[in-house]
Amino acid sequence: MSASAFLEIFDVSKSYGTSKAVDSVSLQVQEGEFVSFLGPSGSGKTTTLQMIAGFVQPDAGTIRLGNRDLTTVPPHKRDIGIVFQNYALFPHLTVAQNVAFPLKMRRVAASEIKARVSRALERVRLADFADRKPTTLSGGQQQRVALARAFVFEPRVLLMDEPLGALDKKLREGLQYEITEITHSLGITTIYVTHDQDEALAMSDRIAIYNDGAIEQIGTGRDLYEKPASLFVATFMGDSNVIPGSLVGTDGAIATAVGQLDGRPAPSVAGSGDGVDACLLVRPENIALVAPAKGGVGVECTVESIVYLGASQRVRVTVPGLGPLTVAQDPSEGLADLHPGQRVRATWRPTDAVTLLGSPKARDRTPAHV
Amino acid sequence: MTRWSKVPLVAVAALVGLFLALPTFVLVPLSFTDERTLRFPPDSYSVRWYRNFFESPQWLDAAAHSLAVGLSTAALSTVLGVPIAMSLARSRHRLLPLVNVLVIGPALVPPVIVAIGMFGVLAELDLNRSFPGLVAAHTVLALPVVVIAVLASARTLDVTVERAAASLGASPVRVFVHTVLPAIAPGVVIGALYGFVTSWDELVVSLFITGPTYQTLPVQMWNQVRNTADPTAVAVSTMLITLSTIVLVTAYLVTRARSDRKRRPL
Repeated sequence: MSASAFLEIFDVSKSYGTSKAVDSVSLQVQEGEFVSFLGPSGSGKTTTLQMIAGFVQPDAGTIRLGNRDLTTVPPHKRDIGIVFQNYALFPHLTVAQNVAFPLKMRRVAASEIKARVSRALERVRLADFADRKPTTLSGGQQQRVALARAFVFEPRVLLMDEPLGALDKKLREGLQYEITEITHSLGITTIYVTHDQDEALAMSDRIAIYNDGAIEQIGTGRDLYEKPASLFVATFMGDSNVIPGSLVGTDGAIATAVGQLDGRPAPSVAGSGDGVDACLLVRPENIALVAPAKGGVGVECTVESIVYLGASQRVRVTVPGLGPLTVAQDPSEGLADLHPGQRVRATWRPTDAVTLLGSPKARDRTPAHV
Repeated sequence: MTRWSKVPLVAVAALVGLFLALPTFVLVPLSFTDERTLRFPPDSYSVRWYRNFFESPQWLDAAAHSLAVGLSTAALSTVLGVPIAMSLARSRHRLLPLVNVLVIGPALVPPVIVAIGMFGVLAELDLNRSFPGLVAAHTVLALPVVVIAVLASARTLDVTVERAAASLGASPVRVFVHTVLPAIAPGVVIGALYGFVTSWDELVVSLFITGPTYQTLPVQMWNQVRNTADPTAVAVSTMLITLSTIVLVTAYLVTRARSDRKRRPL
């Protein structure tokens, strides 16, 4: 346990009946840090958030905030702000009264409440809506009220549970920026739950990838994308090509249906021996298509289809004995006159490939988007 | 539907309405009769039967009893009904269906059955012909009404709003006062009003457990009409109809205010 951790979750578990919603999760968050919980639905990220908020009691483990054990403290004494997907505003109160609520609960003087509420509403650009009822506002505006209400009392931690999930894409992007701008300028430690990886990448200092009730890996977006520790993280973050095989030595080489291929070994590879199921992960943008006669690390293949996407194009190729690969390339570079049916060679730098333990499930072998 | 095809529907509705309202049209003028007998239309008008009511200790006592029992029943059934309705809306405990049946039961059983049972129980406790006995009996009858009214609004409550309030620093009591109560308030008001009305014009159970020493207004009217049929009972009826109308219109206005709020544009 590091001494400087501000919010510390240690070995926390929660079961509902026989299913483990959260299984021995540990996490340390620094003061002022913005950490996202990213994962598929039912992976335990919201349950972890609810345990931090105090709505759910962990079966085991401890939660500490700034050297205080929060594990058994009721929600209203935790000093934690929370924003929900469905806004959860008080419908019978005006916008200003909603934002004033946490200050009233803390018996702040009326004059100070007024000043802080109007500052908070200006911050979320809703000063003109102070006397309106929440139901007369748009979804984006309501969520900004909820945000103001959650930070106006300067909580020690701000929790956000898919706050933009109910909004359309364009509005989401604007609010992503607005939220990080506010949390950073106020220096609030923030935990943000989402299942949208672009959102997590755009907003977070670090991202915790949840799978099956546990954190698979935590790190910056770049770490997770470039140095995934597991096959799940590799395939969850961005598009990927996964080539199955088995380990040869511990330097990251694997034997595949098309011969031996090299990659950077993930840390878990070091402890495994020859013949263990493993696979090679290559990102679509790291593959180049060259003439078949040219050498280099890679595989022979046939062009299946080409989808032009403006800034890039996606080429789907088939490797005999291996299946399809996806290649993302700049339309103006690479082979000229690329066409379906063409024989080419897909190459990449071994340092851009990652060797991971495990064998892909059938659905993972197909690239996500073509 | 064309304009003309609505005519039969409107006609039937008007006839039914008229049939239901007709006794009132007879009753109200009749209460102002100057005669000793109930004959319609009266030959001359006066307020003597109203005066008779307000000058008779027996009538005034009955009215005072009814008011006291009615208000107490409304209060007691609301205090009991709100938590019951909240648990029925929220908890998943396996005994809740049983609670539901027990609470709603009296609304389904014929009043005379409740009356006989009540009479037996209250006799055992020596509470017949007393204020607490009557309030207890009426609360049993009013509770289902209150629970059903509160349940309707409790089911629409959003648990995340309560969680938000808690995270913002509200203790459980303040969460209830600031978020739950405002949301269920219309249901509680309607429940309390109906609870009062249930007690106010309850006759069957009251007949069993009241006596000459402790009577409610409906029981007094019943006895009066059976014995002397003097127009005081008609004057009282007119006043009761007025009061019930006020209560029901209030309930209607509360309901409408609530649905107006929901209908506001997003």
